Amino acid sequence: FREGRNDSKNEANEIAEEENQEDLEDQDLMENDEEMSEGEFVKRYYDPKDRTRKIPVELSIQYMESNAYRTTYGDDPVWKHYRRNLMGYGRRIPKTRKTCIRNDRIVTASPCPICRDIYLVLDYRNVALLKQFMNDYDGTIFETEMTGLCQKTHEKLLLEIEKAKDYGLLNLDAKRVYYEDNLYKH
Amino acid sequence: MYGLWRCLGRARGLQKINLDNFRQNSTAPARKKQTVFYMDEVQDILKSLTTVDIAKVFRPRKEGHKTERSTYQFLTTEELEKMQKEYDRRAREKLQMPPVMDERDPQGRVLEKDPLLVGFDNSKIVFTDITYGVADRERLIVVRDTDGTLRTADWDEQDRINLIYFPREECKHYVPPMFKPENLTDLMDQGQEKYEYILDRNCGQFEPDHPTFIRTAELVYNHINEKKNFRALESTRHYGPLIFFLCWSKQIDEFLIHQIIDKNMTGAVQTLKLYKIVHPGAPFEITEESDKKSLINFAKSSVSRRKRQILAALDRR
Repeated sequence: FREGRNDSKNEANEIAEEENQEDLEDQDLMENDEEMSEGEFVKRYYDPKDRTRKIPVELSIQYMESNAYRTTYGDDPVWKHYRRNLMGYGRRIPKTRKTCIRNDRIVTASPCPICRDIYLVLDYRNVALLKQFMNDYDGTIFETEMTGLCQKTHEKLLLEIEKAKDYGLLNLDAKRVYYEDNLYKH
Repeated sequence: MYGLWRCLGRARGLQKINLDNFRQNSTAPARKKQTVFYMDEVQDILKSLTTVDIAKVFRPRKEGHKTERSTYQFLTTEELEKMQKEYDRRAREKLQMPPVMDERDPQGRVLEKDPLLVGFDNSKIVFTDITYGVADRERLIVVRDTDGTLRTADWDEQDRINLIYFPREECKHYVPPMFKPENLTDLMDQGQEKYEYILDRNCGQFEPDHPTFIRTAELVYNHINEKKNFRALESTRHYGPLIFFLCWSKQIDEFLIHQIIDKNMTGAVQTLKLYKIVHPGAPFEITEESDKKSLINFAKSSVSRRKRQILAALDRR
């Protein structure tokens, strides 16, 4: 039962990753890939639970515009069709797990929406991804109850959103400051 | 003998000439920006130029916290008028202009020098008076240096120490990277909506006489003047300071053209009046007979940089 829905998403992701890889064969992914032997790289590439490869942000931003992303997620935010495997019905919904990835490896059968797709990199420059986790009307950030992110990834998301605000990349409004004119007249 | 007395009398008379008159004819006014900005006539002009667009002032803002739902009410005509007056008043409050000031002079004076205290500690000790209700600018903060000097804090220390005891949500303890000039120009080229955001962040992060505050504001105003995006700041609290800056730096031509095209002749003449207050020796006349005449006077004067464009815009009008 646990393997059912989310594994099919993993398969779709694998196919998407393959397609993506074929399109970007000529690109240098990162130094670590070149340091590995080819056999080692291929083994890690095809291992769906391996997370030793760190995808650079620029690639992630390209991925968000790519066909692979579009066929996998369509128009919906990446967390929309993720369903947590909770115990029972009608119970108080507990916090999400602490982390999906330990020692550079996914240790769960149903990883959270960001951890399951290696090409979704949370970074202050990847505004398209960050916006999916924020409310369009007030600029609030969705809770993990809604998004299903593991706690570690949620912390990283909060950090990257704060950095993006520092660079002014998010379309938000700033808090209004009130001045006591008497202090400034001289 | 009589001639000598007359000369002396004249000399004494000459000494009574107000030196301000002499200074005002030079290129840069020596008065402080805040003195001019807070003059009643200037405030009146800036407030009347900042039109109140209720829809823009009370637009839903994305500030990162939950907002209340809007409500629908049934009102009689009197109640509606009363409510409109109340909201006009509230809008004026929201449109309070951030102060325009000169760069601050360095502060800090030595209270005591005590060389016997050398070596009492490896680091300085800061004493802060955390009385509630005192403005951050006026809070008493003193520093005992490692060489024994007791002095009041300089401006950077004042800003930092205030944040320790009275943190502000809109102010970070580091300078956010968006205030670097290269990042600012990138942001502004992205879209007009960023002007208000940058200026609001500016107000939250820095005091109005901080050098970075002034530099950021001037960068934004110059960008708006170049791209002629005056509408972006219309009906915001930054419209007044923008116009004040344009008058102070003698760059009102593009703005006047914008007002003429918008058919805002009274506004254009008020801008000219403001220019004359800021630069009293300006070589053009403002006539009461017609607004167009005053603008033509300005366009033909030596201080105008876009004579042809202003006259063309007036002709089309």
